Formats: sequence, C-alpha cells, structure tokens
Amino acid sequence: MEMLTRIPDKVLRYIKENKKLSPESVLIGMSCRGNMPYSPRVHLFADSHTLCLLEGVDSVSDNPEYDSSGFEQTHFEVFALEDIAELETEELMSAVRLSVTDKSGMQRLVCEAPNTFKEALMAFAGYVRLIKAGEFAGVEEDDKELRCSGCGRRYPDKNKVCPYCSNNKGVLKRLFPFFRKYVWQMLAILAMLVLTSALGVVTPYVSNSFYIDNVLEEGGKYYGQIMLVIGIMLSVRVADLVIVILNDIVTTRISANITYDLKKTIFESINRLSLGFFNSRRTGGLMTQIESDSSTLYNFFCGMVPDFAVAAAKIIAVSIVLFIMDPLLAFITLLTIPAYVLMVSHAFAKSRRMANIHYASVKALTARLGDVINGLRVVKAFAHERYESQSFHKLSHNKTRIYFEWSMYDVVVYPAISFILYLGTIAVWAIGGMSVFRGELSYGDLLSFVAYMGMVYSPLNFIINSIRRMSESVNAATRLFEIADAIPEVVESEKPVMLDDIRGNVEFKNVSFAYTKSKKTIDRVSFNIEAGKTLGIVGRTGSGKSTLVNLLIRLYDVSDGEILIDGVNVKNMSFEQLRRSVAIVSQETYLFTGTIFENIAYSMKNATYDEVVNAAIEAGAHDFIMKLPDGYETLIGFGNRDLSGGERQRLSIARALLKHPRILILDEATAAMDTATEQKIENAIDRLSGSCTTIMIAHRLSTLKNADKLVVIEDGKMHECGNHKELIEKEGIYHKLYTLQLEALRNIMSDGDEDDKNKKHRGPMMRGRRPQ
Amino acid sequence: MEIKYNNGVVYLTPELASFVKVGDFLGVDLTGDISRLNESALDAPRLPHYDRVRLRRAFPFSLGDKYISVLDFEQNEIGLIEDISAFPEKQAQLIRNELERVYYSPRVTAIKSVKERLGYAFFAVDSDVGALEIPLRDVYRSLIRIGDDRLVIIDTDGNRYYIDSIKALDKTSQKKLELYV
Repeated sequence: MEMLTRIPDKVLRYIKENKKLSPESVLIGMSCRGNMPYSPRVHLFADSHTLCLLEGVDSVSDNPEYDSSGFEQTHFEVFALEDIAELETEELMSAVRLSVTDKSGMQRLVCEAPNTFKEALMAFAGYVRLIKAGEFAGVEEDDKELRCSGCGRRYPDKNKVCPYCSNNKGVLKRLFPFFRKYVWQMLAILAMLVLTSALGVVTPYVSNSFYIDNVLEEGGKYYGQIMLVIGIMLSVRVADLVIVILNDIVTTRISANITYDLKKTIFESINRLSLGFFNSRRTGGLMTQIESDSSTLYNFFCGMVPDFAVAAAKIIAVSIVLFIMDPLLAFITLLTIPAYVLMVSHAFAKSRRMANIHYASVKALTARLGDVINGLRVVKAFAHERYESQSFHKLSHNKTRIYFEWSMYDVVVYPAISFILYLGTIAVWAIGGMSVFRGELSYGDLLSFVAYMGMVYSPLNFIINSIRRMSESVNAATRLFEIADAIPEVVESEKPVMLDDIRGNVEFKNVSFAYTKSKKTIDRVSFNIEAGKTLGIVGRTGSGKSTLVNLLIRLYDVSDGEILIDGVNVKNMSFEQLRRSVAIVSQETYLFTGTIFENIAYSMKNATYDEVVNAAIEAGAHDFIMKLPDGYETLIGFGNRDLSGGERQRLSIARALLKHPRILILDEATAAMDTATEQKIENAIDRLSGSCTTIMIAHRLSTLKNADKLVVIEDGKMHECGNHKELIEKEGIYHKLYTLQLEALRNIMSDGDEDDKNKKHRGPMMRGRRPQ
Repeated sequence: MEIKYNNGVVYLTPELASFVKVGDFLGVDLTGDISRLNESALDAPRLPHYDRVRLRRAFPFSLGDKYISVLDFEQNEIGLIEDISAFPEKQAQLIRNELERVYYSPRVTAIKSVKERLGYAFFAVDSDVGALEIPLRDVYRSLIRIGDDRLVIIDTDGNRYYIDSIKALDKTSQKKLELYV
C-alpha cells in the first residue's frame, strides 16, 4: 500500500485483523483529522474494487508530542468502485470535502478534512479515479506527504527544510561564502579588536593604579613625573582612536560589499524566477521585505558583529584582570551580573512589546493619513471631513497615549536597574575601602577596580540586546535565502533551437494548464493561426483568455499539450528569441520611472529618435505626447507626471510596436481608450497585418470583428472557433454575446434618437413659453 | 407571487424556494414560473430542482444568518436568501447546518506557547477541536484583525482559526498575542 499521509500502525493492524484488508491488497491509503469538534479521525483506503472509509478515535493528532494507544471504530463504510459514477472534492472555508455520486445520481458525503489535508485528499480522489479506470500505476513522490524525521512535523513547503528543527547554524553557515572573499580584511579586523580590547584594559590601570600609586604617592617609582603619565595616557588614547577609526572603515566596507553581494544574488533570483512564485506570495510585501531584510543584515554585519566581538573580548579580558586584582571583589562584581542580565532581559522584552504596540499604532495612524490624503476627492465629495478628522484625532490620541506609556516605562525602569548596579558598586567601595585600610589593596587599585566594573556592565547591555537582534537577522537571512533557493517553474531549454527567422505561425495543441492542482484554468485547447493573420480571443472575465497568451510567452508553462511557433515547441526556444519576437501589451500597463522616450525605447535599447516617434505615431500616442510641455522627454512614473489609463496603454503599444514583433499580443490593450483612439490603433494594426501575427483579446466584440479567426473560451475550454460570419451563423456563445452588445448599442442609439426627436419636437413649442 | 428581483439577482423566499435534504447534501426546489427568473440570457438558466447547492455568506463575520448566496455546484448564483429565519424552521435548520459545516473553523481558546523558528512561528493552542499546533509562515501577516477584538489566523496550509474575542482570552494568552497584533 502506498500512503499519501501517514497511517498509524494500530489502524493498519486494526484493518488487517477486523476488516480483512491486508496492506498488500490495498493500493492507496491516507489518514486525516476530521473537520468539526469531536469529529473522529478519518482513514481512507482503496483497493482495486472498493473505497473504504474507517472513522475512529485514535491517538494521532497534529501535535507530534501527543501520542497514546488504542483505536476505537466509530464508523465503517465500503463504497464499491463500480457503483461510483464520480468523485468530487469541494473546497469549504477551512476544509475540503470528498463526496461520491453513485450511478443513480445520488450524492453521498465521504468525509471532510481541514485544509492541511487538502492536497492529499484531492490526490487521493484523483488516484481512485485512476484505479477505477484501471490506469493506476503507483503514487507520485510529490503527492506523498513528507514529514521531518526529527520532529514529525509536516514540511511547510517543497524545500523539505523543517523550520522547527533546523537551527540558526545552518543559516549562518550559508552566509559564510559571502565572507570568504574578505578573509584578510576579517583577520585585520580581529587583530584590531584584540588591540582595542587590550588598550581598553590598560587605560583604567594607567589612569588609576599607576598614576595614584606610582606617580602621585610619595615614594612611588615615578613620583612627580606627571607629564610622563599624561603622555602615556594620551598616546594610548590616540592609538585606540586610530585603531577604532581604521576598524570602522574596514568593517563598513566589508559589510557594505557583503550586503551588496547578497542583494545582487536575491535580485538575480527574482529575475530568474517565474511569475508563479510571485503569485503565491504577496509581491508588494516582497519588495519591502527584501529591502528591510537586507538592511537588517547590513546593520547586523556592520554594527552588531564587530561591536559584539569587542564587547565579548572586553568582558573576558576585564574579568580576568578583576580576578587578578582582587578575587573577593571580583566575585562580588560577578555576583551582580546574573541579577543584572535577568532584569535587563525582562525590561528589554517588555520594552520591545511596548515598542511593537507603538509601532502598530503608528502604522494605523499613517495608513489613515495616507487614505485620507490619497482619497481626498472622495472624502470631500461625501462631505466626510469632520468624520475623518475625528477618527484621525482618535488614532492620534491613542498613539500619543501608547508612546507616553512606553517612554514612562523606559524612564523609570532603566534608572532603577542602574540603581541596583550602583548597589553593587557601593558594596565594592565598602569592602574595597576596608581592604585599603587594612593595607591589602592600594587606593589606586580600588579606583581602577571600580573603573573596570563599569567596563563589564556596559558591554553586557549590548550583548543582551544583540541576542534578540541576532535572531531577527537569522530570520531575515532565512527569508532572503528562501527566494535565492526557490526553483523557477519555467526553465529555459539548455540547448535551445535557434530559428533564423520567425515567421509567426502559432499553434496550440491540446493545451492544458492549472494554477492550482484542484482546477484546470485551461482545458485541452487547440487552434492555430497562420503567420500575418489576426486571431481574436473572446470570452467572459476569468474564462482563461489572458492565461492563454501568458502560456505562449512562457510566463507559465503548459501542464499538458504543446504550443508551437513555426512548428517549434516554445519550450525548446531560447527566452531571448521567444521574447524578442513576441510583444505583449496587457491590461496592466507598467511604466518605469524615466522619460516617455526611455519608456518606449525599453523594448529596443538602441532605438533612434525617429523609430521611437514613428512607433508613437502608430500607437496613437504622438498627439498627447506633443501636448506635454516636455514632449518625449516628459518624466513619468513614480512621483512624476500622471498619465491617464488610455495614455499609458498607448505608450505600451508604442513600446511593443517599436521592436517590430513577429507576434503581437494585445490583451485588452485598448480597453481604456475612447472609440476614436481605438479606431486609430486598429488602423495601425491593420497596416501591420501581413508582416506580423496579431492576437487580440477584447471585451468589445466590435474590436475583434475583422479578425481572421476567433476562438471562444469559456471556463478554460474552447467552445467555438471560426470567423465572425461563421460564428454568427452558428448561433452559439459568440452569437449570444454579440447580439447582447449590439442590442446595448442599439438602445443607446435609439435613446439618442428619441432625445433628438424630443428636442426637435419640444423646440418650437417651448419657444416663447415661460417656464411654469 | 411577487418575485423580488434586482439586476439579475433573485431573492429566494419560502414561496419561491424550498430547501430539502438530498442524500447527504442540501438541495433546493424552485417553485412557480422559473422562466421569469431566467431573464438575463447570459446567466446559467435556473433549473426547477438542484440536488446539491453551495452556500456563501455575504457577511461572514457580522451576519451569520442573513444575505446567504445560494449557488449551484458550478458556482452560478441561483439566488440570495435575505434572512434564513423567514424559512420554515425545518428548512432553516438545514441551511444553518450546511453553513456551519462550510464555514466551520476551529475556535482558539488559549495560546499556550509561541515558538519562532527560521521565519516561521508555531502557535501551540487549545481550541474547540482540542490541542493544536498552528504553523504560520509570516506571523504578522497571518494574523488578521477583524474589528477591535476579533482575530483570524491563517496557517501555512490555508486553514483558518478564529479568536472570537481577544479580550476574553486569559492574560497569558493575551500577552503572547500582544507581540504580533
């Protein structure tokens, strides 16, 4: 038996002993949790003739730490495969439901399970269909649920890394290659760190013990030579300063380089990845995430790592010195450390919590502010100024209150902690003072000792804080590596076929595609267009029209069937050739920050002024561009001049026309234009026909009327294919859509006629009359 | 019989529709002259009987029993129920039972611990389906606040969990949540 999810041994024993189902005869099986409170656990099995459902209470839970023994059956049912007409899965809000329809059409519920088991249950249904059809040939590895061998948890994604078990070491290890280039600089940094720590340790000794006991005290070895000590102190300080500056320069350079390398790796991965990756994640968040993660890492390397090393080195060196100077006093000092660490960690945690709450309140406030400023027109139109001010005031008040509480906490707690430390210092003063009286310790040594104590506490603060920040940095690195590691779904062929010249014949052969396993977006679509002809794709919103063209340019790859250009499968073409010969203008136009000229020339980097202007004229963009004061050199994009939807579309069309594509795809590219402009573009496209294959997707059927061929797509399937005349005669979906649009148009026209008549009619009668 | 009809959407009333149990599922019978309901030519024409319908709440968080869309299995809307309680009690109960199954998501009653590992967070919680461990990919975005006090948690598999009232949780659970919402 092959298991899609793990089935507990006791259940396997149970079915063998009580149900006479031997694991050898069962082909596939799976276990899942029920969906409702107190619903029993569900076990499904299928052999070549039956589908068995066993429900019972057993020990398996999503929590791997929980396990007990015993299995108690609550329900058992056998469905004969020959009686089953169809198996259906239905997605509920948080669960998935499996049902069967028998030959009489009666639908029976098999089970419901949480989304955790969605893929497994859908795969199970798929395999049962195959068994029924006699086509079952084993379970694909991808469909089997994989669990971490360490903790038993399911892997959250296909990367098979268990976040629960893997430790920080793995990620830090992955960061090492980025450092390898800078080995010498790193060694230099280390040497400088040792030096500064050493100098740091020397300073209090020279300025206290040495100065007081040897220089100021009568009978001291260097009695009266004040300038000597001042000289030493100054040189130590200057040396320290020079090293610190040098160190900072080297670290900053390395860190900046490393984060640059890291960002470069990530950016290259982004360009390499297919659109599917970004669809499964929130792209807007992704960009800010990358930026903030990189800067987290930058701060970590640049600020944290070196300072951490200095802090740690200082604590160790100073502790040693303290013990050499006076073990008892050193012991008292070290005794205060655990108490201090405990208090500071607690205060940090609380302070961080308050900072988070404050951050949330700031976010709410800025979001509101952004909404009101961007939507000012709407606010004013609905006369909601007062309401908006009040709600802003409320949020602002809330933010102020939270900030005050947070500040108050910091203001009170940190001085209180310092006071406790001060008690430690006082104890050292007292005990040390007695030792001075007893002559066991010199006055200078006591002063040095107290100075050293301070040197232990301040790095401690830093270390406690950096432990938290270190985990943040590891998380940031993990997220970045997630992108770097992601495997692109669309991969370029290693030995692409290079065509000398693309003519533009396009053929779809039995093409199927699914964004998710559960639903096919495109289902066995076949058609072809000859080079230079125009194809129109018709269908309702969401029917799969745009997906078809995305498959052609390989933003996604077909799951079944093939797409051929001039007889060559697009999968075998190089990305370079494919995308150079195909131009797409989609509904979402994107303009980069820069001039209009640069935006049009984006498709052909070395385009001349002449070519760009020609493309703009053909795309009907020239008129509006010339009305702008800076013409083709007008800055557009983020933070610059705003263009209307129709203007943006015209620029995109110009961009596409400029590269003289062999295949031009217009995906609702004229939707935001007025009829006159659309007409201009249609004329331009008509002129292109012959030299370039055009695929047009449009809602307005009048736009597509002249196409050589039309395909009608509904729910991912191709329902009709032919030219306008043929499809009208067929009286199918196209006919229905077309008459509907025509009727709408007639209504507008007849309303207009009526208005005209009324005007004419009313005109003379109204004349000379006074309004009553 | 007066049919409430607005731009292609039909309001299902007890006079027009009666809900029945067909096998394990909820079906519906449309009574009267249904051809009048099929005026909009582009919508899938309504049939006199459906073996299995799907239900969707228009306001899943605020109105559990009102504005329920009734769809056929291919998700074409058959009609809209304004208020379930307008239907005879037996039918209303059938509709409520189905809605309960469709929308059921575990209710979190306490948060025992939160462990952050490698960009993921693992919430060990108590819920009405027992002790659970909820894995979250990006904890801040997986917790969605509805209004002031309600919370929806969406885990790595797309399961939803509800906290009906954050304030009603015990203090320790609240403290654990406070960091993220």
